[in-house]
Amino acid sequence: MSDGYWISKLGKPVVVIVQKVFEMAAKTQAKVLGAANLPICAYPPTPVGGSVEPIGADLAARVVAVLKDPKRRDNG
Amino acid sequence: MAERSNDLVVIGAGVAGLTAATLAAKHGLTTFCAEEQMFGGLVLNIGELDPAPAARPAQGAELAAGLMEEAAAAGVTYSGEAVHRVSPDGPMFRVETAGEVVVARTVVIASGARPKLLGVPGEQEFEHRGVAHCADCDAAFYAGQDVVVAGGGNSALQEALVLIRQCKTVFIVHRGSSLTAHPRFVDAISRHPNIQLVTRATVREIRGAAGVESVLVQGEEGAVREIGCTGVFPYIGLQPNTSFLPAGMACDEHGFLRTNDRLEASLAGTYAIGAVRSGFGGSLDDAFVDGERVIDALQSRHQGVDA
Repeated sequence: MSDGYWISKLGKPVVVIVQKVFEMAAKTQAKVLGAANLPICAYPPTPVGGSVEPIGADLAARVVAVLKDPKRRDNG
Repeated sequence: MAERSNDLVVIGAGVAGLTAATLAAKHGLTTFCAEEQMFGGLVLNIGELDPAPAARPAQGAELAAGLMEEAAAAGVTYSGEAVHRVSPDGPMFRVETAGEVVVARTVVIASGARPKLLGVPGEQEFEHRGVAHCADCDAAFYAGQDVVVAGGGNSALQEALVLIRQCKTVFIVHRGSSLTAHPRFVDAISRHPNIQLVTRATVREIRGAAGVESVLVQGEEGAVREIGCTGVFPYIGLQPNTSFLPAGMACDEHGFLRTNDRLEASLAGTYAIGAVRSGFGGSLDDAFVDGERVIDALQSRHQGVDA
């Protein structure tokens, strides 16, 4: 989150990736730092015994979509 | 470099820092709060707070978000920059971040503490490749596997209880002969047959190739045992974040800041609260109480000055 914030301050395209449980905290922090438009993509907790590949693939697609269209803050 | 003046600077936005900042702003002090990491501090990584704070969310991340909102609503100004240096300047302090200098009469040090490292071979090499510090974040990576938790206090046992939901076996390696955690947690782990206690022992080395494969554990009597595992979670205590402070501030033997009963640190005009303070109780309630106490102390001081 902090790294993403600073990269955005440098004017570089950035998407912050957080686990779902931290999404609200990350969005709140971005807002109070004056970076409410910082794109944040959240991924769900990995199910017990489940595969991480589908979660990773979905997340990657969403990150790419946000980077290609900066107006999209979060398509998660 | 940009310079601004505030009545108060709070360094650190954990529970104690955010509580103090919010109350200070509500009392009319212009308050600046700097935090280089995620706001909320160590509580962020705790999935289910036990005990849960009264009238607050029971999830650490939700609690942190709520505290941030309250502070912002009260008028606290935030910075996401690290504080590099605090230096006295007459009756004032200059608090320097990478991008600005904030001048204030009072500094509340709420910079917290970070998990202490084991200091053994393999620890740094396997950081993020098996050495982890947040069971709630990373347990899924070790589903069905064996992991080692180092430590015997509340944090170690709470994290072991999170890990055992997904892991095959959790080994708790503790240097003492008995666990120091709250009896509630000790009782909870005793009911899990897949949590194994290794007492009077310390982790000496973390081994592996692409990732962690085992740890070497040495008993009091010197015997070394190898425990196969893919994850190592050290919870052996905390070390204070004080590198930005002027030299010579009074600390205890572990580097935590000494304060008087009004939470004043040894440099006049500075206060220390939360996990950075020597004698801090360590619970979430203690963090809230420190945040409230320091503002009471500030008010008393100002009333004394005004009288």
